Amino acid sequence: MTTPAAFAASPRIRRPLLSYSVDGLPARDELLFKSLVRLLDHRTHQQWTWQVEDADLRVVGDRVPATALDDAADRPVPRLTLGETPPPHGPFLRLPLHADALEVMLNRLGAMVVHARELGLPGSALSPASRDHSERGRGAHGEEYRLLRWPAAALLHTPMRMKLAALLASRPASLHALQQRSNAGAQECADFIAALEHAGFVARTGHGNAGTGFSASHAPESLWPDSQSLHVSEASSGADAPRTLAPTRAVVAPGLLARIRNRLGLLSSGSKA
Amino acid sequence: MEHKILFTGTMGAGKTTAIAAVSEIAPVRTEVRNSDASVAKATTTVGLDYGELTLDNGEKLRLYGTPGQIRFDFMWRILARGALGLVILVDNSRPDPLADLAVYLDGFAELIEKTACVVAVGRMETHPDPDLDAYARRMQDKGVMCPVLPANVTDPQQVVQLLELLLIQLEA
Repeated sequence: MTTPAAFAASPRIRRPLLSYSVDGLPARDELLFKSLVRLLDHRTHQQWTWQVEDADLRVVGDRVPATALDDAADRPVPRLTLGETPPPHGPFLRLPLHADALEVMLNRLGAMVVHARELGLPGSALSPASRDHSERGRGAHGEEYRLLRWPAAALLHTPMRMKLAALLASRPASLHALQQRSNAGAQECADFIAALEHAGFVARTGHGNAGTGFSASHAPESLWPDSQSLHVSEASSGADAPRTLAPTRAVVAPGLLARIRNRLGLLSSGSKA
Repeated sequence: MEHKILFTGTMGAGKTTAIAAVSEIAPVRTEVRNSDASVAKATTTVGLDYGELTLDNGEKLRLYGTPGQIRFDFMWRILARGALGLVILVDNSRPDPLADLAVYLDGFAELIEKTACVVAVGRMETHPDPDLDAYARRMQDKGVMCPVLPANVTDPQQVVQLLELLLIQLEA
């Protein structure tokens, strides 16, 4: 007889883990897209998680200028456009999204990415060649900032700055990632980082993940991720490394933090949460 | 599934008040018989504060106020298992609040390492020293980096802010 325990212990089919990033969508559409992806998780052939950048798939709004996309892309990555106006070429889904159409599209693009990964083509974020390339790119364009100690109170005179510091206290981040996670303006993030640098509270880590030890493949599933597993490199695990760069971080159940925030009457920290 | 957040700090630092500020039930003060013979007498009791919030899926978020004294650190370890994070409440009017902080940073080191922590300093308006930078430096000495801010836990909004800073770190 098959007991529930035996059923639970039976091997599960392991789906490829793929990532996607989102650019240029209104906050509401971005949130809806991420929610739909999660809702479809039991139906898609691949397991999709969100990450800030260097993902396997770029999801973009139809109003993002093509030049901006070209500038941002440092390697060939499939691009899915969402909006009202189809692009000249490439996959497109019209808003509002329909779950069935999204499922078909994710499965199609996912199969493509997995195939590219198997062939070792640079379109896959996890292929060694593309990883090297992306890390070089991040080193050039997206340096990460690591908080050396909690900043002086004089630098934390706004709630947003307190939030930015809390984000940095948890793990290093690039300006772009900080902006996305906090929903702060680019200038505000840049000003804050400049003030921290001037006061000696922050250090640059020149090669993104290589410097911080946090793996991009374990990036959060949403702008306000609820589960993660962080790993640290030997480079950052010295005796004087802050405890915030711990080898592992306890996993939080998916959706839990959002429910707590909701119960506390907190608006999402970022409007995108 | 149990979800919990811990509040710790010295007696009078405001653990019960902080929990009461956000709990949907009146905080329960639980006297737990000390079963650890190596620590104290069998008749010793340990004070725990308990509050809770019901989440929209019916799960409970449990808020625990730990016993403050270091001799009950065995209870800290028990409570810390599976906790989402820690709020340390420090009373700046005490003789050596930085030493108080160090006790909890050490006592909850494993939890802080694996989750997140916020340090809330109370009574700074009447006792401004040590200042927040001194706290930050002490935390740095201990290899801990987490938000430290003044807080009046009689104000529910300030308690919510502490929890929000905790969540932000977990989310990052």
